[in-house]
Amino acid sequence: MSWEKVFFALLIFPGLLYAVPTAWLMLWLERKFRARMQGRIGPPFYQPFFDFVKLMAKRRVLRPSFDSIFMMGLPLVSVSAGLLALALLPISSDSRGFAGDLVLLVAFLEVPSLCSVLAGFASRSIFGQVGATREAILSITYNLPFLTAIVALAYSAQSLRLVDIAASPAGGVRALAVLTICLCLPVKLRINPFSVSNAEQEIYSGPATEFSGPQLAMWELAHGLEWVALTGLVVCLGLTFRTGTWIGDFAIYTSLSLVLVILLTILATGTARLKIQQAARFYWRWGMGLSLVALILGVFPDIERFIR
Amino acid sequence: MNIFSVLLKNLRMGPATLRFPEEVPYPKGFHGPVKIHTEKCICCGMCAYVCVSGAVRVAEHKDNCEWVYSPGLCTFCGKCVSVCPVEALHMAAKSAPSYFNTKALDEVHLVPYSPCPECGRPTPPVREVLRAKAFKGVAPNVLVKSLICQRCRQKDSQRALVSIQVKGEPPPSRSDK
Repeated sequence: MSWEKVFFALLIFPGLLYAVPTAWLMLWLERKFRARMQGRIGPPFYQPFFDFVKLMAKRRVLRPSFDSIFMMGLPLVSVSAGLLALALLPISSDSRGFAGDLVLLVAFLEVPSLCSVLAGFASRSIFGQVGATREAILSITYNLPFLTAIVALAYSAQSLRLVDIAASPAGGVRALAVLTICLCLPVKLRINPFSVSNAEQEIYSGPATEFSGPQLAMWELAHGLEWVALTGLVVCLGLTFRTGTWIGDFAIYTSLSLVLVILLTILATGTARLKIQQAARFYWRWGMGLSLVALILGVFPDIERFIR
Repeated sequence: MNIFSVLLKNLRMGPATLRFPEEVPYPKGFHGPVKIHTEKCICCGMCAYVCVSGAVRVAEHKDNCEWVYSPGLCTFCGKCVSVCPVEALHMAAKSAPSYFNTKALDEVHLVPYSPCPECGRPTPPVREVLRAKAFKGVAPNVLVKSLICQRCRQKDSQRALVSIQVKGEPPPSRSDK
């Protein structure tokens, strides 16, 4: 990868210039569609942008210096991790990537959750601590099937390079692995029925309870970027073909991401919050089951051939 | 019913939210701010007497009385309306608008006094409703006295007392019966 390409991916597409407006668009789409399904009007499409601007203009709350470093730094780290993860996505057919970028992507995708746990404890709020604890437990819960699915994908493609995985032929392994990653989306995005760590009726916003002003704006942005990155990951890994033209790839990628957002919103609106035990049981039973089948099929490709 | 069919129905029906000028119809018998018909008021002050929050005040002046009402203090209990002997008060069917200044919605109504038929001084008005209630079955010569002022009424009863006790005349009949 040349330096120009790296900067293009980071700052223009699918990085900063594309990702931030898309993040706001996705946050808006989720809110608007949820409102419509609940018989409400919902916000206008520029609302997340206005929220961001308004929060940025707010005064910062004075805290002990060490806490304040943490509380300003963690959301920034979270936002940067989201952007870096997006830059690694193999959206266009001419992106090359590098060996091992899958591992880096998985690490970047986990950073916002980790930051959120740290932020919950750093904020010294009891709600933040409860939320952080829940987030940490959930992270163990969903990462088991998520990582197993990633391993299965990598094994079946015999590569740790995202481009190779995206270009590998469609099959049972890939379908099952992408399905598992899809199952992990609601909990990674902290939406219903797995909104355990930011359960607003119980513990306010969980880890983000004590955050306000620019710090909260950064959290919101990080959350939006998580939406873009995770839906983008599913689309990149799930889509077996590339159009070949830059514009075509861009259009298909964006529209499928938005469709995924709508599907996730329907799920979030139609379900109620589960207890943490129920969420853990779901992921360790169904998520683990699916991803283990994918892994076995990936390690022993003869089984799939035999079934066919 | 399946939750997703409910969501689909909501999507098809569109938002149920009412835009600003539209509003949800108020229920029948809604307790809005108190309104007064000054042409019915008799300045008795019962409304001010029963008002727990001091929202209704009645101040008597020389030739009128002032009925003052502060919706900002009112609890909309409706007690003043229920005790008014002449049904001069009622409650509005809609709630008061929002405002920042507690005194912005204060209302002052003047109830003019009518002249006393005997001495001509202004006196709190006596309405037909009250006469029908309080002077029911009273002889016409006494009923005339219902309109006179407090001073004239005192003078009148003094004169009657004098005529009975000093001059030994029979008391004037109070009733037709």
